[in-house]
Amino acid sequence: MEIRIDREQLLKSVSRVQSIIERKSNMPILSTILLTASGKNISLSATDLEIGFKQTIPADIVKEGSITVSGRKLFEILKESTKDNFQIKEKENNWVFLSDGLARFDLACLAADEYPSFIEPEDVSMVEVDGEILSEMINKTIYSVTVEEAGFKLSGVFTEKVDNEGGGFLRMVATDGHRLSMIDKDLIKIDSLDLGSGVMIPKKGMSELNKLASEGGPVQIGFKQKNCVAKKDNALIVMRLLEAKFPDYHAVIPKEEKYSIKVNKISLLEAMRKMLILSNERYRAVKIAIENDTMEMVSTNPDLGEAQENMQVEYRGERLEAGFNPRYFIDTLQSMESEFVLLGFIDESKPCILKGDADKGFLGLIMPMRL
Amino acid sequence: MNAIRILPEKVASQIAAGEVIDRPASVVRELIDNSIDAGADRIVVRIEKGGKGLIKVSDNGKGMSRDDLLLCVERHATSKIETASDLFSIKSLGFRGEALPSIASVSRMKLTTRPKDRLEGHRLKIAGGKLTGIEETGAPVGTVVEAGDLFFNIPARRKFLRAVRTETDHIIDTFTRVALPFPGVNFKLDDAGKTLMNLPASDHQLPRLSVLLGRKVAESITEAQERIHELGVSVYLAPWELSRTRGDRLYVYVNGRNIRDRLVTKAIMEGYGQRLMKGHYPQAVIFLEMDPSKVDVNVHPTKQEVRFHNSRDVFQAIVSTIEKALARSSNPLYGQVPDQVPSFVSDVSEPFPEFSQHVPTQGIPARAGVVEQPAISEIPQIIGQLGNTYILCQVKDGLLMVDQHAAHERIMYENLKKGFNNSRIEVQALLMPHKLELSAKEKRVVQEKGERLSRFGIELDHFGGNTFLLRAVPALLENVEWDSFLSEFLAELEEGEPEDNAIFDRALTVMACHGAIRAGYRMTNEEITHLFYQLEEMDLPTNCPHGRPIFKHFTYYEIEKMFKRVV
Repeated sequence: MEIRIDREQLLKSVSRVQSIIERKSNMPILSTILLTASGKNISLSATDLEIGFKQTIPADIVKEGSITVSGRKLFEILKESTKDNFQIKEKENNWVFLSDGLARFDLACLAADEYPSFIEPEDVSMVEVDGEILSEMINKTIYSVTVEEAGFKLSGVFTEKVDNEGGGFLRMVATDGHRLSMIDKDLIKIDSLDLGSGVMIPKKGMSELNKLASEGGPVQIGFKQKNCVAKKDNALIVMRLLEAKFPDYHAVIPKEEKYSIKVNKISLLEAMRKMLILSNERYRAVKIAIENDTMEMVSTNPDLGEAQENMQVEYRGERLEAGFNPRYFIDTLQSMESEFVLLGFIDESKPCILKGDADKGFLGLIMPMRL
Repeated sequence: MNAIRILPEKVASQIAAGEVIDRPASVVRELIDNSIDAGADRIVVRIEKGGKGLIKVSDNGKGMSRDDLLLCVERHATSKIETASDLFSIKSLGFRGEALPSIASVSRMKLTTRPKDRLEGHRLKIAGGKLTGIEETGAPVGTVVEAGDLFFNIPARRKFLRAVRTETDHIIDTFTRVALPFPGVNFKLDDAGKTLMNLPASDHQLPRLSVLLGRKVAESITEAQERIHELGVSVYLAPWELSRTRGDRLYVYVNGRNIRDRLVTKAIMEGYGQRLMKGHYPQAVIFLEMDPSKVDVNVHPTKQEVRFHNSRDVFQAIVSTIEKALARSSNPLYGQVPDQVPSFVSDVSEPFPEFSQHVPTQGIPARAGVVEQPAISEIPQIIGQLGNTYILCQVKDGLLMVDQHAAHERIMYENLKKGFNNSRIEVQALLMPHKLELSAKEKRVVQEKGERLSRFGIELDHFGGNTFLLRAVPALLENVEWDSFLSEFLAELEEGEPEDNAIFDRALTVMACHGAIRAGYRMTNEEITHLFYQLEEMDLPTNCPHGRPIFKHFTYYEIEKMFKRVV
């Protein structure tokens, strides 16, 4: 294989796959990128066996063929160079020659035919989604996913198709058992998505998908045989879905809230951040008490002391009291865009519900702590 | 003829002797006890054939007159007590008046003695309890007892004696045990002319301890003395790292008497607390000094058991003395190498060199007993994780390995315990209750002891049958497998009385274990640093709640030895 390619363009693709390629893998081939030249393009592939990424980039092909090259080293070489043109040439015995015209690198590589084959599911019916909307859905759910630890069941975002009068919509739900975030978005032609009774998309895959979607423009997504496929322009992501079953979340979403309180989002977020200062491993609860148009937040830490802040709200009902982990509020509020958020309460043992006008289709739930 | 007969005197005394004298070592103990009671400061023991041939104990005590000599081999003849009420305040080691007649009835014994105020001494010979002669003789001040042919007249007992080697070992063990509390007395043990042990008189305990426990252990010993009301407690404690799976290195003395007592053993274990792994015993020597009227030694003929009148106070005194002594020396890897303490974060910053130059190096005596611990004023340099299980760090003088699960377990445990003691374990309600199937036994624990569960921040609702719903859990516990956690947790709660703190401790330990990060969890450097900061705040940062060590420290010297850079 021998090619000439625009350095900037190659760098962009190589830097995007850095988070996929495994640095500490016991399979050395997974730390490499596969480059295949054919026709007028090269295709670049990276995988950790759970997520596969492939992108085609135009290039001058002198000679067709495939090579693997260390993803990390290729990235560093491209990043340090300032030249526009970059040359990659395959030599004998798995040596690869790289040059930007000034510096010349000879890298020992692994045989391209040892690279794990990229299984691209065929005949997947794809649906077009606005990248910004997809990115919003991911951003508003992914923070609720449990921190990944080996063998834990909820480490993904549950994605399903919800039928409704006048067309279905796409729903994403995530929870760690203490809180839940859920978002619904209308999707044209959602019927052609093969989501079955819902799928679990792993956290790492979701953040790769988010990178693709956040660039804006339409993204094609489709599901088939325990895989999720996403395409945008000349890039393709295939990821394996989690086998785990998502719990029945419908039962925990309150049918109706008893009190709804309108709060300025920024003020609440800032207040919660201040409450967090006094929390530590042992004591993290913030106590919220609402009455007479005032919402009082108190955080008490026997090791350190106490913090307190009052906020103006509109509320005339009986006194409401509940304890919460302020970090959960911060995560949710940070992902929301509305100027004002609606806090829905039922009683001190039921979850607090967060919604906002500008966060259409979004619902956040936070379970209280016992006081 | 009657079925019941009164036994002849001879048989009766042999039976009685069997209670006191069961092997050569008990002869040695009884005779040394007598010598000490006689005020000797030099005691020489000579044995032949493991004591089966001869046991000879010579002392320079106060000796006996001819009349006393004749009396001392009579049963229940003693100089040590006079009235029954003396029994309740025994200051001497012996008091029963049984040792000499017992030995006399099962051996060929010679007693040679001279009191200080007489020019001539006397020698008495007695064999199998039968007086065979008494004569005047020249003798040094003191008493020499020779017991030969032990059990010559009880072939059954003689047959049960073990090999010479074994009996010698027993004698050595008894000898060291008896000699330990009397550092002011010179003890010597000879085996057929060869000196086995020579313990010169000394002002201090430590030389005796190193004979008993070995030099290496004795050098790392932590000692402490406490006086609590009328009770004096002196402890000599080996570090927890040197604990053993048997309690054979626990030496307990009450007023100089070596005893075995389950209560005291339990107190020692409790004092060491979570520094010990389950089933491990420390190496320790404990001396208790108390008013003789507060302890009953007349429990068993061998006098190895005692009853304390106020056993609860004795227990508490031992526990608190040991706890204090160990706390003083425990932070962390205490004792052996104080300058190698891997203290992570120092609260005392070292003075700037330009200031310290002005500090006069002489003239300010260091406060006695206060050893400045050199502290490392920064987090150790993290090298990385080994097998996602051990954290490796570079510290000032070498390599520190940290077991991540044990370390986090300790942090979880102390956090839970502090919350528990303040009645403020924070409780997080679960969004989706976790459904559990309990066994019939577990169900009974939940229903009978449900109020205990809520104290731990666990809310369980009965859902029908054996099914329960877990509705709320301690906020500290994340990513826990609730089913296996609860079955272990309930098993701990099932036992014991409602207010037994040991149960709570064990339950908290189960919680900490399940809540802590596991081996195999990949940690970021930030997580490791945070872990170290938290660990630094712990009361006992050296052991996990099960007693396993958290650190292993390798000095450069040890590493250099491994690579033969030094030999």
